[in-house]
Amino acid sequence: MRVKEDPFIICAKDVSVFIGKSQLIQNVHLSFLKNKVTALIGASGSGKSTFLRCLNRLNDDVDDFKLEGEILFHEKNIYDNQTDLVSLRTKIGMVFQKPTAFPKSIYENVAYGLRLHNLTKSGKECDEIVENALMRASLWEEVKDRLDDEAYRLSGGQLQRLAIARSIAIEPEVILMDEPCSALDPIATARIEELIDDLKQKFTIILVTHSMQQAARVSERTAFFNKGILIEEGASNEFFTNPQNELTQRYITGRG
Amino acid sequence: MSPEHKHIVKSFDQDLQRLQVLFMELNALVILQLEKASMAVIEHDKHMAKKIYEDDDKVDAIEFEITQFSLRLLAQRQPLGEDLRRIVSAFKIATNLERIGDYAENMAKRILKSENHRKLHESNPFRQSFLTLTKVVMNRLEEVMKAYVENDAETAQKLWKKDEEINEFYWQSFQEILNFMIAHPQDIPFYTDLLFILKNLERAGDRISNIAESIVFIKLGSLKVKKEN
Repeated sequence: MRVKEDPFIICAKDVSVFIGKSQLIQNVHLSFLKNKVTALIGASGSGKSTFLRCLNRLNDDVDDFKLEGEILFHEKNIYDNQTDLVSLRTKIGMVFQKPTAFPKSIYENVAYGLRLHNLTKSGKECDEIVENALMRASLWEEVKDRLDDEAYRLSGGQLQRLAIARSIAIEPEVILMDEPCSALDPIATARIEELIDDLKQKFTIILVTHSMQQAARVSERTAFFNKGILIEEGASNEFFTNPQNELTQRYITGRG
Repeated sequence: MSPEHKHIVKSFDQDLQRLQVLFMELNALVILQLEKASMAVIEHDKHMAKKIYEDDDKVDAIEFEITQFSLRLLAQRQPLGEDLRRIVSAFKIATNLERIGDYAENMAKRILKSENHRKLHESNPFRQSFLTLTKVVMNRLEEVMKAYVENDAETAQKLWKKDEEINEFYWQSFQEILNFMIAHPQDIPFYTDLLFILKNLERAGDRISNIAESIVFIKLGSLKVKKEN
């Protein structure tokens, strides 16, 4: 008998987050479908980025950080004491708002994660993985003849695609993106959005964005956070034309 | 959405207000065209019919202005949720109003072109049917656009259902006229014209029903409240 595969890759169950005495997230239940793009939207301070960072335990180093509830990745709670953080972060990668490059070559920027996690065996294998990652990140054609150039010479849009290449080189299952286009021009943004569309064939993407139009364009599911509470989650097709909650309606139509 | 929740960008509220004003202008003009068409039919007033024909350009111009304005709002405001539904529906509502204007123009054209038309005297058995249908259509139009301005889906829903009454009234009149034509074959050309004119009013009723449907959609985001059979 075939076992039906769980459609959800990550399930947050009754998650509350505290920093010191202040509660940033309240009792959030939210599951993420495999190979889909889910957008998290909400005003600044709504808790969406905090929540995103909980998904690969990036908040662990924050002073007085405390999480209640469970975040299940393949049905195992990532907040268990036994969780190997390095391994977790190879499976759940992160692309940040501000595209940053290490002061190294384009090649080394992509190979960095591989070396960090001891994921390569030979130089040839590394070359192949770097090329493949750059191709998947739609950057290969632009950099293939200058892989040894310093990465900082790339444009903002190219740097963000380099960051995505670095992230996918280590073959994660989930890519978290925290406002990946907020510093980019519309053309560079369009390239990233096109890339997200390609990447979801292989990866699950969870995206925090301030642009509701972007969320509507790239995501299949959207979740709206307000003051640390998950107000509404649903299919993006419906979410932006006919949200069910009054607060969502007010937020997406720009009403106070 | 509660009316007290204004847009943070005030000029967006002003734009939506402007859209409503344009619709009110268009609606007032279309109702006037129907009223004039009614008089032109009753009195066989070719001068009035010509005026209706000429004024149709004004109807088209306001419809075009609404289309242009709504396009600008889509590009500039990138609306979502109820705003998106409202602005997209503006295209449909404007088209429906413009088509009702065309029906008034069609009635006028028939008077201008037909050699069979004559006054609908008080003694004419169908004068009252025609006046009743015209009045009902004009009232419904006024009511539906009031519901639009007030974002009143409940009234729109009622008006949507009431279209059946117009259809029934039309078919009843159609049958009576047909029977009359059989009995008075010499009057067939004149009453054929009258049937066409009544058909235009019935079609106007369908357009009003479309507008009502759009209002329900704007408010509810779906056509949940189904038309009863």
